[in-house]
Amino acid sequence: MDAPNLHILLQPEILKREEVYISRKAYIVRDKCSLCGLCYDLCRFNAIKINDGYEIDETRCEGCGFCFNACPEKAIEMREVKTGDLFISKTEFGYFVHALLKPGEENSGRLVAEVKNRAKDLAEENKAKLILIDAPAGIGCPVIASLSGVDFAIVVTEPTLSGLRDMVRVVELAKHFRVKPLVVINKFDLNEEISAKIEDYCKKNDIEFLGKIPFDEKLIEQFSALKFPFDCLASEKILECWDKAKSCIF
Amino acid sequence: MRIAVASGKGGTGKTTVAVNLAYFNSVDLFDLDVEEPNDHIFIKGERSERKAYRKVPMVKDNCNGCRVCKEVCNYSAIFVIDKAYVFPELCHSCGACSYFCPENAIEEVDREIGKIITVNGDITLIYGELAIGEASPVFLIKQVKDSMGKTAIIDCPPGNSCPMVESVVDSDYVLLVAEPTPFSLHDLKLAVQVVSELKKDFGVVINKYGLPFNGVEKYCKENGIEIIGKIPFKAEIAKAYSRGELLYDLKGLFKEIYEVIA
Repeated sequence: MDAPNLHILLQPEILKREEVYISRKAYIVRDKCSLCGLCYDLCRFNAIKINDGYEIDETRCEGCGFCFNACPEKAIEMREVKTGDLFISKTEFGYFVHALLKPGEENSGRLVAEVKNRAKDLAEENKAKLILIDAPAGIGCPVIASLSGVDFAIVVTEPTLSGLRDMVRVVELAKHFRVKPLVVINKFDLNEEISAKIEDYCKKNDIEFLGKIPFDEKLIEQFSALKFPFDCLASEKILECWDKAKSCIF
Repeated sequence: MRIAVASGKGGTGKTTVAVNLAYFNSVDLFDLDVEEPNDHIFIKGERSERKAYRKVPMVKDNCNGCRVCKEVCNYSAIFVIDKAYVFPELCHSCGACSYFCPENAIEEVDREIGKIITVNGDITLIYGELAIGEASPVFLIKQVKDSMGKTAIIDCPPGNSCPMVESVVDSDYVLLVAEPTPFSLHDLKLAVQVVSELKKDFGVVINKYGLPFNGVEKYCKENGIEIIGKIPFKAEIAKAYSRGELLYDLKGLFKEIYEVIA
């Protein structure tokens, strides 16, 4: 959402585009401000700037409303700001919902939730059994928002020391939220020793292991040339992993 | 000078650029990708760690359930039945509830949000590691930045949202890492929008240079964005990364990139 890519590959036909306003930010009305400085003292996000009077630094404002509630002159308003755009589209593979966060904006977790709600409505309307979510990176709020209410999480890792560590963190996060993790290794042949460690970790911790995808230059070429669906060794292996995933899911 | 290494898209090579840039120019390194910190795999040395905290409310026995705290909380982190109860995971630590409580029934207490780790080796690396289940990396990012001097390389989290903004906001220069794919180009444009709004000087490093897509170079040229360096697309580089090794063969390139910027 703050860096969405799937729409580039799927080239969807956009049916509906709407602006999403779920963030609010403080705004100081200069005429009412008595320059008492209370907001400046109270704000924990250093979002009040002194610039010939007080004003809000929008990039730092968290929208908590502390200053708004505290201002003795009622000189602070909470104004809605645009969080991003949400798109509902059709592709040759099915319906597709995505959003684009206004660059630099916060509340990406709530935008994720909004995308998921729309996808759920669409799925119910069309009696679809499955929703696939392409989740953002990390373990923070947008990832937590992606994991909430889902049944399974396919954890894609790679055989690097970073990949191994990050996978363990995501698997822990999934378990924390009672979501069943299923693990896939991408580019497994870059380092077969670490790949073996990942498989071993899954076995010891009773985590379903879906399979290994090879490093395939053809995939990278087709990917950057937007030749989708892919047709190469790696894409065949991805399908095998998916078959195994389906046997876990259904 | 503080140089932030960022990119919209994940997996473009921020960590590769940041660790090699810091190591070969003997500059302190800050890994602010606290959700998934990886720089420590490349920088070895003596480790010391301390816990990091933020303030969250705790309701005392004298709460009379008046609901003022709930009304001033914009994050639904408080609910009231007979008295107030707190969801600390949702709390943004703004402090409004304890300030407005007419009964003085809310005390702010420390909640652990992760660790801050210092590695003293050939260079100094400082990084944060967010606790599992903690939603916002921003508090921890701020605390890791507290020990930053005037010269530093900053490895930023991926994306273009609040954690990335928090990581680049105190830098003097932003180095955006892109790769020659349409996806990376798309996210690069978003990252350029963010750093332009923050009024930062910036330039681009192209990683995996040699892939057939030339859109990134074309975009930079058309928009007057300087391409500071190009890292070739080679399986050996990916393999060295997978083993947690620095790129000694490209030492000259990383020294050059630093000289051009600093």
